[in-house]
Amino acid sequence: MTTYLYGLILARNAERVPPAAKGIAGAAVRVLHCVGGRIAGLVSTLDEPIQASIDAVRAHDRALQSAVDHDVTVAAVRFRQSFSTDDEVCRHLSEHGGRVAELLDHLDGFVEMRILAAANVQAPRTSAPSQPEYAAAGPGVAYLQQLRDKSAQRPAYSARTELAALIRDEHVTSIREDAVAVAHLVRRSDIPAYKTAVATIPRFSQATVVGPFALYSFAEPGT
Amino acid sequence: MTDADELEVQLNELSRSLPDRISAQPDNAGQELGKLVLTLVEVVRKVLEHQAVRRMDSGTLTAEQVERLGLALLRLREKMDELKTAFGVSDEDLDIDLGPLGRLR
Repeated sequence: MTTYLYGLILARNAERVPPAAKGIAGAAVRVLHCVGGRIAGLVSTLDEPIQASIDAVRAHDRALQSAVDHDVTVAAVRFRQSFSTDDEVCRHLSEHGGRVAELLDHLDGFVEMRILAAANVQAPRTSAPSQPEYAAAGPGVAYLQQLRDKSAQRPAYSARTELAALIRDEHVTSIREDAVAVAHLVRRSDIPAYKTAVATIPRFSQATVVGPFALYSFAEPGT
Repeated sequence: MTDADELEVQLNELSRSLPDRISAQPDNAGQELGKLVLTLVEVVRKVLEHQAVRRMDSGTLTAEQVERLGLALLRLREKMDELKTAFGVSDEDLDIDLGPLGRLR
């Protein structure tokens, strides 16, 4: 038997977590309160250690989403975090959970929204106008050019300026060679305004807005 | 030795320092150590990539020098990908916070 940890929430929000939520292998998701703790864990008791699989990852995400859908801000824990007992989870939270507690306190009421966009926006070149081009590019040159172009694209995807009034933070990630995810910390009550604002940004005219999610991109204190 | 040659030497030395043979099933302690080593190598690799791109953009390198630098970096990245697969670590596992410098990725 192991205690599998999906995510962390503020203990004061625990009553909002739905009692019938299911997690990995159909196990019940419950809230684990630790004595004197400001944060609580979303956990399941499993009969055996889980194997990494797409189904297990989806079950992990569903467990988190069930809490998010009931207005709970959740700091997502990395997949496959298991402990021998509930007490072991509490010991871990006692030793390492202080910063997460501060983060959740600070971000209570926030969710993660994401803009999924095709990576075809070419940022204007901001470096010296005499940037050399290597016409007969071998694989080495091509690789360096790809690195240069990739680093130049990230500012092109930032929406901090357009969405300044609606977002607390932003995190841009290349999810594939041809796709970018722009994650934003948004107050739950601002979600409709956020979606409207994103729709007015020309470079995201073909993008998809998804969420709300647990705090995956912003779960590390200091981000 | 030019700056580009020095950079290429650093890349080749870094590449040679990575093991050619990898334990198919590293134990837990070995895995943690491997992850630490890979993280450190990744930091150095990213710095070297950044330097190489800047050198390329500076216009002070010949096409041949840029090609050799790029190939060395490409080989290093391929080797890192092999090691990440062997140790079961993802890019996110190696994405450390460098404080004021931001995240590695």
